[in-house]
Amino acid sequence: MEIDSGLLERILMNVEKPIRYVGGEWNATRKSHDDVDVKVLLAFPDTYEIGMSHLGLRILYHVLNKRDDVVCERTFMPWTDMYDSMMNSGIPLYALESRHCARDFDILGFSLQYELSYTNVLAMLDLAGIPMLSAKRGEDEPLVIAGGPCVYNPEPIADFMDAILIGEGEEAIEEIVDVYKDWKASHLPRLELLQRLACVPGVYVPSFYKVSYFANGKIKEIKPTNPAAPYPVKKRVVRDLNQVEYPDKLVVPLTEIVHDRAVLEVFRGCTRGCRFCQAGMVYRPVRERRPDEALELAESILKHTGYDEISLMSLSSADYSHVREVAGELLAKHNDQGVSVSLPSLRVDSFSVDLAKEVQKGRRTGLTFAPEAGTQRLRNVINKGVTYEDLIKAATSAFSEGWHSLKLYFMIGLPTETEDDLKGIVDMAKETLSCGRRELRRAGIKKAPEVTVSVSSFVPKAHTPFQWQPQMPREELLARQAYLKKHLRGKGLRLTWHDVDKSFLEAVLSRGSRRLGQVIEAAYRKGCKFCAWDSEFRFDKWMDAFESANISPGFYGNTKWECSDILPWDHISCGVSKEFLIQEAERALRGVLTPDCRFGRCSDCGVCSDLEVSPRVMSGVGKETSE
Amino acid sequence: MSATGAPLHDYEKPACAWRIQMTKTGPTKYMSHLDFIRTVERSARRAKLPFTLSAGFNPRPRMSFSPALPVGVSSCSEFVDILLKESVDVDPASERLNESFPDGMRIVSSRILPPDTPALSVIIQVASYRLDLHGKAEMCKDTVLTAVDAILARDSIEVTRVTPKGIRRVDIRPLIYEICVDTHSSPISIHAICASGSKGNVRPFDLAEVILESMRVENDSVLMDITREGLYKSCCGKLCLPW
Repeated sequence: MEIDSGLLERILMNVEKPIRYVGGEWNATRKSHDDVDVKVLLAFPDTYEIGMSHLGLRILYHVLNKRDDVVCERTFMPWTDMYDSMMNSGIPLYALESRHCARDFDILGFSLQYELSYTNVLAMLDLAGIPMLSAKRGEDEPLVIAGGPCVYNPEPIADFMDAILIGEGEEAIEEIVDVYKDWKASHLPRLELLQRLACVPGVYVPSFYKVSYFANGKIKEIKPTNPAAPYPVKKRVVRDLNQVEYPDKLVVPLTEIVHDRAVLEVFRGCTRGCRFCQAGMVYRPVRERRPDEALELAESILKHTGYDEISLMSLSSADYSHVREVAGELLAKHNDQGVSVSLPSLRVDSFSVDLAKEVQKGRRTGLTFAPEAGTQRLRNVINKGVTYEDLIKAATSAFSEGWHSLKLYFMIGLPTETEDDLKGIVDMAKETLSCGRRELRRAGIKKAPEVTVSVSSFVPKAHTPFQWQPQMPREELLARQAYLKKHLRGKGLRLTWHDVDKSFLEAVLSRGSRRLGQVIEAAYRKGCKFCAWDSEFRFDKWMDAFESANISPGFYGNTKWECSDILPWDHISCGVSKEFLIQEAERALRGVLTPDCRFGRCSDCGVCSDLEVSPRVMSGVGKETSE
Repeated sequence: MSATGAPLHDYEKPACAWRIQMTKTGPTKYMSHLDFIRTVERSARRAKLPFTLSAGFNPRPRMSFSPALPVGVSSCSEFVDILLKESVDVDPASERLNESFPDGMRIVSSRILPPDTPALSVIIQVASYRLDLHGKAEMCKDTVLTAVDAILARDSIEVTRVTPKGIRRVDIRPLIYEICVDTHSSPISIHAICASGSKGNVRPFDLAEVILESMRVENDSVLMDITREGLYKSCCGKLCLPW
């Protein structure tokens, strides 16, 4: 059923940015629901502007709509004003393209990018009129699935999902749709669908696993209860990026979104091996796109979208073997039409600065470096292969090239951090600033240099060497922020920091077990939505929710766990072995670096052997080395 | 990091201005003016129009637009000037641009003009709006007619403008030139002609509010669909399209 468009128009006149709720974008796909076998609704549990900036959503939309037997549409979390208006006027969650109710779809697929969006998932299910708990869904309800980086610990949201895809989706989503299509034609019960889905590699059906606990809250056992359920569930991984679909007809929104530009993913994965970084573990191995393929795609994307900026995206764009060549060729070809190239996530080195200079030529926006920790000792602990000299060299190079504003990312509360490390942050920032003064003066630039220090708090993440580590207690993090606030003062210095309560909740949900499902539900019922937004985050309500469920958040957030403990996500495998993570955790404490396997030797993390993949790094044009 | 290539210190010399009259309806009526500008730019890129670029490190297609339309108001007569490097055949160029526009945006008519044509923002002084009354549409025609007569009989109509400098009261009565009611249409529609542009401006939502007030109905019981039907320059006391 389609929603009442007249009623919608009426409420749209009274909400902020109604353009987010009407669809009609360039390259959006319209298909009749009568002509397809499977109807998929991709749901992003945050605003339109954030959701539309997410590449994964765009890839899946493209892959699914390429098929004649499938329609794929989109829906986003309505902002609070719209959410209330819809609830009050009885308009359910709907798809932007056809304005069909979410309930009309066969499959509702959520993208889980950050833990603080979990209450929005429940809000969207509630608004859709779909039971929030998987166990309460009837035979005719849509199949509710999820994917994204959060699902490497799927347990906190396990109760709400019928099935969860672990890993990369562009191939698996088609298999899921195929299974659904066959099942739909078979008229067998829903249980049969779930059993068939559990047989698709990468698919986790939470209801097929039973978790039992010790009295202290630790996990006693995670046990499959259905013969179809694998243990562990291994992540899906695309072997060769050049062999899978990539969207060239990207949907071009009618309004400005967060990343409002064309995106080309130049490689996936990162093996630098920072020990706090989940992306660096779960997206292994590195797989690069062939440069000729990248250029061809870039052409096609620019042609079909009309964007005037293209971003060569990856976890660390300067690491792409052909970054210079691809960026250079794109500029040579399109610069006279005012098209620019952007490179997100640069490394702390002068190569990156040179690259930025070449790509950027005249225009000067800020540059960002991420040393992450203030002393060499701590940078060795986290395996961030960056030295003080690297930073100063990169900064010198940047200032002498005319940049006057640099941003430095650091993390506080990292395992083993002491006051020395905080002092190191202060010293590095001040040294960068005085380097700026010197270089700008030397270059004859009148402008005063600016250094912004952005400090986040360490959050232990599943499948990283630091997964057993506690987050520091709130008071300790606050004290460390206070130290930095006290010492990072003065002309040209700026400090920004993250809300400690939000980081704490993120830690709790990141390491949460299935028991947190009831807490998330209680938090939603108390009105928690858009928890990632400072303006909407209500820590008190979350604490009430923990209390009402009689669960101590500190157990998940602030407790050191033992390597021998069964972790809530032990039945989920990203290919990186627990032995490797334990070994890395030990090396961390000894301050021993582990080199990147792209350049050094194999560190034996287990991904390649376990998932039968290999790193794909391109050497010459169109050639590749693959070990 | 984000960047553009070699800075264009001089903008390119345009050969002509392509003045387009176009619609902004359907989903696109919810676009802000900035959204609209961006969308026309991207459409022009997709259509591969030979637009000229502005100067600076962040060059953009050189275009200018008729006065901003408020979010939620449709239009069947927006004007855009695109400065072109070389003249184009209007028909095939229109076809290409139409194919590159999202739904709701469509060229009505267009002309090639000299590059030094006076800007739209300078010449446009008058707008006409149609306000369709939905909701309790059974409201009797007489109520609407009486309400409109009452408005026209007033000497002054003060509305509030919130500006960065504070709240200001503006008398819009002298800026309303004509209001008439089409009682034969269903829903009933009201046509209004009023000042638009830098020398005096009546906002369509002010107009709607004044009419609803005069009809003595609650704002949320009636839905007004507003459409900008025309934008005009005045030549010798007559209203003409800005060609």
